[in-house]
Amino acid sequence: MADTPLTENDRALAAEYALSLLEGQEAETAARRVREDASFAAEVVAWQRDLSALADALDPVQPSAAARRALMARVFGRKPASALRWLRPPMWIGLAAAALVAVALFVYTPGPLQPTGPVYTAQLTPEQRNFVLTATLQPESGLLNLVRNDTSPPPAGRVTELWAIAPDAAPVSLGVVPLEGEWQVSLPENLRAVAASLTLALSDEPTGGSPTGAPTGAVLAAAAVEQAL
Amino acid sequence: MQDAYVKIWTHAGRYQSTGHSPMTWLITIARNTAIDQLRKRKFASDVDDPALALASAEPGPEAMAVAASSARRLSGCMDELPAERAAAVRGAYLDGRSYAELAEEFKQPLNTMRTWLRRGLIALRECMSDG
Repeated sequence: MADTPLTENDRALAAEYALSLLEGQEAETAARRVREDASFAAEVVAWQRDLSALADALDPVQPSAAARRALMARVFGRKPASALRWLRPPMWIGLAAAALVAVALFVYTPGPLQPTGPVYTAQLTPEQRNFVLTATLQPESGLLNLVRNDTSPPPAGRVTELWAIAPDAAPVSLGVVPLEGEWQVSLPENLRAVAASLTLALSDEPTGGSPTGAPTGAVLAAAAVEQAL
Repeated sequence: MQDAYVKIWTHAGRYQSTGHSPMTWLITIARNTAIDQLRKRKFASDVDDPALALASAEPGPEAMAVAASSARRLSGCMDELPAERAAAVRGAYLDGRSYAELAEEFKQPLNTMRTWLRRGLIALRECMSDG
């Protein structure tokens, strides 16, 4: 029962399924049909895709830091053994959800090594650059994982540069932010000991990055790291 | 909201097989999770939704471009629906209203409400395919 041509009634049923309007026996029948009828399944997927545009009308709500801590504890557990289970594959996973009352973006990037110490995160949201940069820092390995959610380029002739700032110290460049979604930076040796109190910042710089080694353009965003794990 | 994140994390490996754009996938899981809580339904939906576990013929940039353009078209087509039908579609999608709740809200018998919304959805589908 694959690829049967869909009637108007089928299309309406697929929409009702995508809207979770079906109940009881009807819902179960439709769910079975999604598994068995490729045309019907494609129609449901198309409805889910099209209807998700309605979520654009929702106002984004930033979840609280407490919610994020509770979430990290749930996903990674409090014991290293539990964290190990999730972190074994060297992969990155983007986590984002537009809940009915909340749209937020959150990304955690385990490196190839399991974290043996604390993990810190920071989110940078430069308004003029229209992306969110999520940094995940493991002081133990000195690795800073960076993920940006959008590849839209900066204005012609300008780049966005990332800086790490220790308390009462000058910003240290961590390089120009690439358009690619994910990359890693090794934190300079002398910053690892103060990783917990770092502030990360983005500045507007000419192509090639700051010519002086210090920020020369406007500061686009800054955020102190927070312990996540 | 945390439930949605946890599901997304634990099922992220399945994402690429759905053919959805990342945002559609995340929005659909978040919505299904919220509706589950709203209705406290016994049977599972969310990531167990079979439509979220499909093998897609050709996912990738092209599918995503199609998704982006059809999303833009949706708001135009919603505007073409009679205002009350558009409001009912929004109520079902954004507020997770059931037919019973919609019937009460729009002061219609249940069957009339269903016929009415289905017509709206069919008109929406026709408008989307014309675009």
